Amino acid sequence: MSWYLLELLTEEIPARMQEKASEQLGEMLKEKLKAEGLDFKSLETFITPRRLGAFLEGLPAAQNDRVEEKKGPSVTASPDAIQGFLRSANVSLEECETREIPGKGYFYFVQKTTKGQSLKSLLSKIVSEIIQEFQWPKSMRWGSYTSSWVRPLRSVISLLNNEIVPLSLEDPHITVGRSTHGHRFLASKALEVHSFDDYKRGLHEFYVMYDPKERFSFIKIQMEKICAEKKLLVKEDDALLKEVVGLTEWPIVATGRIDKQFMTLPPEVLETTMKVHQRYFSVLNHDRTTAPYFLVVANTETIDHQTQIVEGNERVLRARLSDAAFFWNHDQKIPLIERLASLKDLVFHEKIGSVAEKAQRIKLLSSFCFFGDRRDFSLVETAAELSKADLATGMVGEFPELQGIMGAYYAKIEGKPEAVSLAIREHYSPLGPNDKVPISPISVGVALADKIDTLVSFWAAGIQPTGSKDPYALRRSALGVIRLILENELTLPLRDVFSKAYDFLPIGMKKEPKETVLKDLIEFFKGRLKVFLKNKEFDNSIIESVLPPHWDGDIYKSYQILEALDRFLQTSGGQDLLVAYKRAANIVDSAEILDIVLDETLLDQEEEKDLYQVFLTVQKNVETVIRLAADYQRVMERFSDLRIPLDAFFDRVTVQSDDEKVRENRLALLKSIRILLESVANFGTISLP
Amino acid sequence: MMSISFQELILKLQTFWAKQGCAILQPYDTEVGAGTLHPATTLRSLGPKPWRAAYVQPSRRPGDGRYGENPNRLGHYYQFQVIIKPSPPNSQELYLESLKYIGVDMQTNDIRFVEDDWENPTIGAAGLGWEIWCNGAEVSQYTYFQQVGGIACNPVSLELTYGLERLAMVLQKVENVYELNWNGLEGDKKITYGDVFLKNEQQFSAYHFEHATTDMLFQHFRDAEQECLKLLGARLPLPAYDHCIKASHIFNILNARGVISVTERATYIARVRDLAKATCSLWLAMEKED
Repeated sequence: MSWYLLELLTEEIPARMQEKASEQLGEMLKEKLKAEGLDFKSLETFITPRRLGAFLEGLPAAQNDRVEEKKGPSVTASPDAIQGFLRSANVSLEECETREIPGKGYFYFVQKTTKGQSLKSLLSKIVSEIIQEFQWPKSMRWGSYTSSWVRPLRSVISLLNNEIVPLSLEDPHITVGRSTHGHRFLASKALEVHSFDDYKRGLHEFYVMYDPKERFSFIKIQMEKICAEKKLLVKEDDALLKEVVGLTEWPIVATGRIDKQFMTLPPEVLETTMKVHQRYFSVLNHDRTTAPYFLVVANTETIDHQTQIVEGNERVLRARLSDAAFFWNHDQKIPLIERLASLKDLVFHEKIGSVAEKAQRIKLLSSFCFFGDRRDFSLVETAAELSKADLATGMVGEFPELQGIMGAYYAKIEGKPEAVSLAIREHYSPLGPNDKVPISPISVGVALADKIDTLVSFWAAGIQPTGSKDPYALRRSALGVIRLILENELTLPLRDVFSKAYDFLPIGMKKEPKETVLKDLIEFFKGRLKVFLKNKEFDNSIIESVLPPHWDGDIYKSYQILEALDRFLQTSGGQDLLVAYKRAANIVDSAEILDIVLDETLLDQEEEKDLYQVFLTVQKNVETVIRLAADYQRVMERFSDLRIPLDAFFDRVTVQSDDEKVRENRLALLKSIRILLESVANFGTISLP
Repeated sequence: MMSISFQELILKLQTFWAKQGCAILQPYDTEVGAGTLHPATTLRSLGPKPWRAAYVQPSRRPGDGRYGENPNRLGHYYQFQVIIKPSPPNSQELYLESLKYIGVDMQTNDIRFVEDDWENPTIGAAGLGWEIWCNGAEVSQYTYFQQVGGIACNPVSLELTYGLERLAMVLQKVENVYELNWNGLEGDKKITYGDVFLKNEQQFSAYHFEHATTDMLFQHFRDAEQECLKLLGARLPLPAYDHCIKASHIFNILNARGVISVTERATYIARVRDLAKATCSLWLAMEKED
């Protein structure tokens, strides 16, 4: 069995691209080996800032010979045709055999054996192709060469069973062989490699952890150890950790101190400054408040135990935090309300208008999205009006990710009520399927108004998500609206509120007529709601049954019906009623009766009289329960009252009576029951396993 | 050991890159926003002819001025610029050698190459490379030019930009730029960065943010644009380029002055870029005629 080791030594690869690149190398190798009919036992790919590599084990010694049969012309064909075949297949007539194809006569056949190529030449071809075809998110050229790579490629290890496999590369400076380099600063000599074990051991001696998983856990362990000694906690951040893994070959964690003078800054400001600019981890006390330390992951181990590195990083952080402190103090000098003027210059979207206009619309719309105490109307309007004001502050200019958060701090400092400050902070939420949904009515009102305004304005401007492209995260906005409504149990008629939002838009920007926008947007919401409900593992056909073609856009009601129906259909009573419904519907459908009014006097048999009485009671009860309590659990219970009389009806009553009037009257009874059930959900779409 | 003075830093970088065969040039004599805008980089990075140069370039960023009150931000600062075409195969090693040469000890400092896709939209230039971090401080920009003036670079040039103040602050372990030791002397004879530049920062901030006469500057912008176009017609790309960078600087002042709205900003940048592209094309065409 053979092995192959590949290492592409490169100038520093951007951290964000590394994980995908390692996966891509694995995929390409698998695909190309398969295309050549080469099996292997195992494949490992790895990446560091400077090297992308793979190790294959259990390769065959060579490609198998391939036998291919070619069918020629009939033995009775013209000599020209036969000669033509022999020439094209490059064989003599003696090498051909003749075989009969039943019903068609005798034909020439020839078997051609293609000798399997050596593993060495195939790997040379495959790896050269991979280097040619590799897709980086961004690649570049260097020197005078036409080859491109993410950053200049410097040398390659290409070893098959300890033998060098040459490659065809554009840049003559790229050496292909068995040599590599260790850590840039901690190892000075070149490393000669004879096996994968050799490679791993050698790199470790030369201060390189080649495996990103090892660097990940090594950093984590160091951070936890440092924090445990100080009785503190690391503020976990896997995205940052992954990035740092991609910035280091020999990750050493060092602890720096945050100057006391900066500890009065909001924790989000400290954390963001450290993370965004410096890739530092924050440290927490046990009560989750920010501790005056940071963790920096250096890419080296120094003779002074990282002393200068820590001092240097502390100086940089002081400078960064001085900037942040300047913004913090300076921003507070201008009240948020005065910031609104500067929002006129801030473009929300060139086809829609400025952020100032948007803030004004959110204010107008917020009262229609507010479900709290009527006395708090002015609060929701204040919060809505100020919701975007912090976009004009210095701090948010520097750190866009602090939007909302800074506005909340500044509002509080100005003495705005707690609920207003909270709403400014929370109104961007929820940001994803797992983000927390606000529950304070003021926050909910602003959050809904902001998202609905965004959706309606994009639709009005003729901009919608297409396929996988959703640059303005409009699907996320719609999901946000759905979750806000459901988790707060709100009855928000989408049509009405979309209509208001459309009216508030400036006339000049509206590319689409109102009716189109309302219709399309409700359809879009229906689609998003279906996706949301499927993710909650509701049955597809039950979801369909509560979202009919002319859905009214009442998200919470549809959800309540769905939940009740789903539970109901898990009971035998529910399942039996569904069967009875289907039977009734089938009979009604096949009879094609239209507008026949039920005539009570024509009811004849006991069972049909019974059914009619129960139907009347259920109809009345259901109407009352919906009107007074919107309790769909009880609606289902009432529905189940229909089951026994329905079954009895089907057992004893023959719908197809000889008397046409009686027949039609029975059909009308079944139809009434069907309409009653369908007034809540379209049972017809439901198919249970 | 006494750490390196500001002027010594410049002298050493010049010596180092002179040894690598670079022509040591002097700053360009008109206002620019970055060392890249010196024609020795912008124009010379185009076309097939090899080129090696290094120089200090005073760079003006009107919007970054802070009246001398911020210890880290300056409206005027120095960049040390190296341009080598084609980029040498050992360019990273050369750069790290230069750091050692000015006194950065690789055994006690943490040097990192952090992704940075460099772009200068006003001259239609873009490249790939890194910011270089020394103990978390960005001390240089390292770029492989892929495109200048909208024209693909072939061969590719290496551009190194050392932020001299930042680098000196790291080496001298100083937290306020104005406290940098400029001439390396102590006591009475010591000259600091503040002695040289504090008044400039104060007065130029006031000029850029408060006093610049905007009507006149808008007119100057149009004049520079017209002159550039006229000179292009006369097939004089070098003087045309001067007017292109003048327009760019005037735009920067107007922007700092807060009289250009967001939408207008994109239009002005596009106008300068058009001048830059036309100039670069003409320069390249005339190079090929030689």
